[in-house]
Amino acid sequence: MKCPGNPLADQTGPSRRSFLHTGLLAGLGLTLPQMLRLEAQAAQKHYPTREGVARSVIQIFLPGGLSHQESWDPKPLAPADYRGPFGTIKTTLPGVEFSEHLKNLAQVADHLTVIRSMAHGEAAHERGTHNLFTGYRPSPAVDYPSMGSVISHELGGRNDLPPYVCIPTVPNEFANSGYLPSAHGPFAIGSDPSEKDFRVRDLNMPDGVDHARFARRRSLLETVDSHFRTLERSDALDSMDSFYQDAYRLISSQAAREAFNLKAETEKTRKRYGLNKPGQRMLLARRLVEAGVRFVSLTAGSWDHHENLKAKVRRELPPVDQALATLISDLSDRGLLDSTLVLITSEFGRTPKVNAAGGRDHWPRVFSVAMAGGGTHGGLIHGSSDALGGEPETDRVSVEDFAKTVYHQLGITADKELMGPGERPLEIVDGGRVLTEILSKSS
Amino acid sequence: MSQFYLHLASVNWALRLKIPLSAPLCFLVLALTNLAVAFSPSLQRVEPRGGQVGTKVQLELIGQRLYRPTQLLFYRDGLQVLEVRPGKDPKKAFATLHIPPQAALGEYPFRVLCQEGLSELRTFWVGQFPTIYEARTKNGKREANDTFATAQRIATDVTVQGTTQREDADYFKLHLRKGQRLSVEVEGMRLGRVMFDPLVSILDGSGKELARNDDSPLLGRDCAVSIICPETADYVIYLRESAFEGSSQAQYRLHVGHFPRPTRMTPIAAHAGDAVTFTFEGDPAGPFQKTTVLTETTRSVFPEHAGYLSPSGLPLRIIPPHAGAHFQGFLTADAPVHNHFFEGKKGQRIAIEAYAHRLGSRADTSLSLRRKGTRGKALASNQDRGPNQPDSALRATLPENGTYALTIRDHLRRHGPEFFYHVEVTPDIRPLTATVPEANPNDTQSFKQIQVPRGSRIALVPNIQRNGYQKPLTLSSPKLPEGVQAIFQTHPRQTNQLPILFEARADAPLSASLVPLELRDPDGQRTGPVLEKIAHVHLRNLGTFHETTSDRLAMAVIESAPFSISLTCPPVIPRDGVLELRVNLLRKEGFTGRVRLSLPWRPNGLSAPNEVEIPSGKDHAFIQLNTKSDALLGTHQIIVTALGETDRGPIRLSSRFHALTVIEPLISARITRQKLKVGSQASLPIQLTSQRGWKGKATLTLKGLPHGVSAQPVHVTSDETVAQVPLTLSDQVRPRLHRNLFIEATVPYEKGTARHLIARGGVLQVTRPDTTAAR
Repeated sequence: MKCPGNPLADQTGPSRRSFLHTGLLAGLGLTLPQMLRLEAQAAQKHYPTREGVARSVIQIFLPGGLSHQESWDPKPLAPADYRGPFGTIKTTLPGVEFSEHLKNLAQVADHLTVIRSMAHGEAAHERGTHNLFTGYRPSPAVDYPSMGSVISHELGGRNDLPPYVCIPTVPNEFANSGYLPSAHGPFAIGSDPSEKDFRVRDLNMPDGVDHARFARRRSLLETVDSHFRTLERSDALDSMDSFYQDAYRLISSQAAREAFNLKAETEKTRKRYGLNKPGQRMLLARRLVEAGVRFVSLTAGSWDHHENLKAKVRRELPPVDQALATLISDLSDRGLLDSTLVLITSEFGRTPKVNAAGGRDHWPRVFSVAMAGGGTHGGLIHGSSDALGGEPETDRVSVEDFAKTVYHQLGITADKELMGPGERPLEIVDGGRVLTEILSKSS
Repeated sequence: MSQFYLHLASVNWALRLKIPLSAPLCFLVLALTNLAVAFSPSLQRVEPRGGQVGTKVQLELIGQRLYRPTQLLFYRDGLQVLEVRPGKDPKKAFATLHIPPQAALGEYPFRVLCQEGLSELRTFWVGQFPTIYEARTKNGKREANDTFATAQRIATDVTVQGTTQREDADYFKLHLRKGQRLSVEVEGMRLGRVMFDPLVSILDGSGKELARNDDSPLLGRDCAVSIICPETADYVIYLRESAFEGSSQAQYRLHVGHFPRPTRMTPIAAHAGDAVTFTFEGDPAGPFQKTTVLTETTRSVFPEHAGYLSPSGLPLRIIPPHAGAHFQGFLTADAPVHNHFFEGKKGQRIAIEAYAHRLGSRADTSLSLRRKGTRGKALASNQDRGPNQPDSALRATLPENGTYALTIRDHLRRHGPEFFYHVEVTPDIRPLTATVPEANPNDTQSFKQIQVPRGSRIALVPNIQRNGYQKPLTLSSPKLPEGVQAIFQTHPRQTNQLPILFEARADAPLSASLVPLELRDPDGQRTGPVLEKIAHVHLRNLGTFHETTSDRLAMAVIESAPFSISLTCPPVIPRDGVLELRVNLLRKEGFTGRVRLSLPWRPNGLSAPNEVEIPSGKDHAFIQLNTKSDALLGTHQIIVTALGETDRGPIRLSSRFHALTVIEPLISARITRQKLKVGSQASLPIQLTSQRGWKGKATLTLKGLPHGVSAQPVHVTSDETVAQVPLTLSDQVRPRLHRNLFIEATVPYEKGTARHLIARGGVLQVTRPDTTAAR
């Protein structure tokens, strides 16, 4: 009796692939897949990436689905069970009101562009999150890269810093590199900046290891890797090499490491942001973009308020409001706001009517996102929802529109195709348009 | 130095001494205040979880605010409460129970009554064996039976109370002779604390597994297993959570003994009053029989063999007197599909219901009904009678006189000794039932008990399952506690909620009892119970894993509340209308806490916010009520329930009924679309399309205007058909289509006014000054 063995292992006898190789194309030294890849590459839509208006992005994701009625798009004239438990607050923009717990953001509204007519059809958290992180609807066939990874791929790093950083951890599976090489995945801080003994994981030399010893170790590792590479080729190995190179640069650069040092901030500044998770995460994000990180992604709070929305919003929204308003003011004061695009997003909104448990349920048919800086207009409310916050009324904005606009401001033409799985060129964003009407400076 | 006042309210809220205190004594003040009385006692845990028949048991009751416990309110007869006494602190109370020798085995739900309230419902279990505890190490910090080598030595005929922690396995060793029956049964999920799925095995002395059980059709997620010992030797019982989960709350009661543990019984349904001989099968010692006289309340039969009872009974269906044909059977390999025949008449409305899963069968029934001898589409068929209810049920109106064939099979055509069923054909009399609603989706116990403060009232709004019955309904409650009256109205046919007020006199005795509430039509021909369902273990989307249901509701008269509420509002609200309901709070001296208000029910088409708060120090709040265009016309009795946060715990009470009449709109209007220029002044015509039944002047106010547009209210009479609203458009108006304009119309009606929100969806088209078209 003979064991058939692992079908994925090397098999004896001519395989289908080797048969192709021995055919006509063998004379050219190409396999059919290689030839198809070359053809695909030749047909790929390619646009050179240029320097954009925005040099960095801070993506602030509010996971769970922030209620648009209790934040950016209150409905004070709706019946009480649609209006919700809160009142409104005037902003610096004439005729524009936010929900009462955004009192600090109301004061920096002239820097904000609020899109009140964002919409997609995905009422499940993971699907909505996928949309907002990748600009694509989820597909069972393709693992799409996150915006951060695409930006890492297109723009690369600066100043020895990783191009794409997540605070404190990778927030979800869709924040990864997808079909792009794993080298473009996010660098996760690993611990929360609001913790007392916050220290970025893996950023310092191990205890008792000096630079000379570290260099010897690195040389030894490279010898082993080099030998290993002669035996195996894979993307994972290349990525690993890239990880090591990035890590070496990061560890050996004092300036780069200093970007992560929150203790360099004054106590006053830290308090201004808020001594809590949203505050310290956003402060660290500001330090990172200031130092040269391309894309910083962080989460704040948890917004899946199916029940008792009143108490939860009252508890969770004020720290986010304080931190966000401080971040925008701080970026503006430092002259960074024009070159930093701040995105405040959530996977969807909440139902127009408050449910029996005093909460709101998932509602992707209309919701709000906000942007600041990075060449956006500022002081603008784009689009509107209807009287009950149930449908877009004017200027519906799709996920593709939103993603395309973000890429556009970074100098990336989102129609460009990247090589996806199966040698299939895929646009960075499929469809959509750049929302030129919300931009004051365009790349 | 700040001054504090001590409020002593140990017996009566009205009795108070004011003693000036200094700041350092404030903790003492709080402690003494709390020592007095507290509302809403909470019972979290009962120790031990069960006891043996014929013994006295000292119960430890663990919870919060267990001040002045006076009684244990059992939902089932059989146990004697000898004493209830408080602990040293309000987190504990104690009780002494006597379990008579003849007490039925099983679950005994109960609540603790304190003078200021009833606790949540918890359970106590009665067994036939003495209770011992799982062994612990000498310092008591860890379990001492976590490995095969350290198995706890036990005797037979005991009940072990233990806990399964995460990744914990418990081992028990006992010596048995060849041919003896060893049976084990675990009460885990049934103890009703947390999601806990126990698994049990019997191992021989070398560790080889002889028998194992995880779940059982008879016991749900709990398990039981029984063997005949193959030799005289040590045997080990191995118990764990099936997925190695568990926690400090994952308690179990493991019965170990020589008792029988059959898996099926014949018959599985019989008539009340009959002396029935049941045959039990599936026990390793072979089949045996028992004869029992059945009553209307018999729900299970306890197998009895060789002087031992099973710890739990096998479920039995008592066939109702009105049942017509009924059939029982086993689905076997030879006959996996059964056909039964019965005679029917043209126009006869029948209901057919299968009982299998509910009786411990593995069968997932499928029913279909045809005329005998016909093929093709069935007259009616059914797989499951509802979500997580695999037994089948169908209703049909018979098309003609003749013989009908009822086909029953397992949904997946499975068969075997444990695939049995009972099916009944009855007249289609749809039962009326109602349930006490869930106040909190995360806490099934929340506000299920009815606590009536002396001199006040509390509302209950059962959810009615009409099952197609459309006539008006009312309630009757013949056995209310002394000094309590129930106030309710006959309920209109369109709604499925029925508000009742229970009101206690100021001198009503502090007491508690289980009160039956009956739902009935005004003729008294159709009746049904109001059920209290407590889902002890419930996971969303997965359903309930253990619940207790009672057709009597726990009701108590408690100490008077430190506040009361009353309602003030106009008596009329039109369809498409709005109304501010004022809730007045009367605080008694010393009560400064906040009060949260809600409407426990709303007539169809009337909406209100879920909750409105009266903050600390305030004495009123407004609840805005809105009506839709199809709101139910007529006079409705609305209620507001208030939850007050006192320093003695939360307490709820309700307002009296307040009549509110929903009427047809007195006015309707349409906003005429206009093109207006930025920076202009204009007039917006409003078409008044219908007006009726009012005199005087109504005020129309344009709402939803964009920024930069202002409008003054205008006054109209009922004769006018057009109103012109002057508008001023500043330079800041955005040129575009502005939707969402509407009109608030305040119309004089009888002695007050009726506020309408009409002409919704009005459009204002603003254009640039130099163009005629908006973008």
